[in-house]
Amino acid sequence: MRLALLAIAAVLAGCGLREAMRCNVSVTQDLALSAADAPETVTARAIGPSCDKAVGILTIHDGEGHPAWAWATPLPRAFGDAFAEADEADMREFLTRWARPTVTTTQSAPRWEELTPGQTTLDRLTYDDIRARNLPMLCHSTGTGRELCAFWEPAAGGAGLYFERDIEETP
Amino acid sequence: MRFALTIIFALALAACGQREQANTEDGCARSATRQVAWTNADAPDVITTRSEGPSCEQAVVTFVARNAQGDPLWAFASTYNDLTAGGIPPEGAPPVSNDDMDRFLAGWADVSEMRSSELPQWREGAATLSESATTFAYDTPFDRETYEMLRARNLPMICYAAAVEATQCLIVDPASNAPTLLVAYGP
Repeated sequence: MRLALLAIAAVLAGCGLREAMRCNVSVTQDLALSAADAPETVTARAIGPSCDKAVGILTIHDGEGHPAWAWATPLPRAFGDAFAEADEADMREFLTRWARPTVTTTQSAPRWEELTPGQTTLDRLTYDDIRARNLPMLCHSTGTGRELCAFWEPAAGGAGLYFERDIEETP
Repeated sequence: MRFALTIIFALALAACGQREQANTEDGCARSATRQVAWTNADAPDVITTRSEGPSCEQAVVTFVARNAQGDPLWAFASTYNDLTAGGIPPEGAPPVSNDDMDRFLAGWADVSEMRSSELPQWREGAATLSESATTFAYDTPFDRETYEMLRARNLPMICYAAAVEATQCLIVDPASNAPTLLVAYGP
């Protein structure tokens, strides 16, 4: 009888340990990016053997559930020591902030002349055309003091990398 | 009593399994793994490619490289359709089966192992790396001097597909000891 109870306790403890060893946290929020009836959603997710070794994945899905944008990074490398002691609660707090990209339009992007080499992979003609069309644009953090901006192409239902830039972190 | 304990034991196991299943509930949760000697010749790194989505047509796919200790070295994400056809799937596109996804993930994880010296030379006087290359258009975040220094170091390099017709090649930057994109190339 005592042996059996110990066995059950061991099974449950092992089960809990397996979960404690894993970091798998996800946060999904609505995002009003286009004028479509159904809003887009943004999902920030962390996956790893532990939260200090997690990879972060940010995805945007359109109102019909099709993925339109996906971006990933090793979180400790991108955001420094913020994850050294992170547990799932800390990670959820981070992901909730990460899943709130800034939404503007491409006319608020820097002019071509203001870009430094390496900020965009587009050629000038394409960059200027996207800016002139004033498309929806979302910017999300890619690391400490850095963000990328993606434009939303309503006709194609997808997003594309527009440019990257340094930003000042607000405490 | 023994019967009751057996039931409790079975319920405990079932509850444990249910929690794990709930975490991975996904219509297209597939993965492939491959070891590669990139950052450490004695302890291979692990490349894992993964798909997730309500269906394989709608899958987000990720490429993650970790060292032997499990530390993440590099991560890249895209959509299955962007990597296989580009853009969004057209109306009436054929469904993507689990076998299709497995083949794709296995191929994606099978990175090319190269040395940085195999990259094209950035000739003196050429404004861009692409001007020096003959076959593909190349892009690098480095200036000519740094690029040529990294090329001359003959560093281990892995290259993976980043779009239908685009490849990205990674090295470990000797200055920062961090995995770094050295070039992206395509037609």
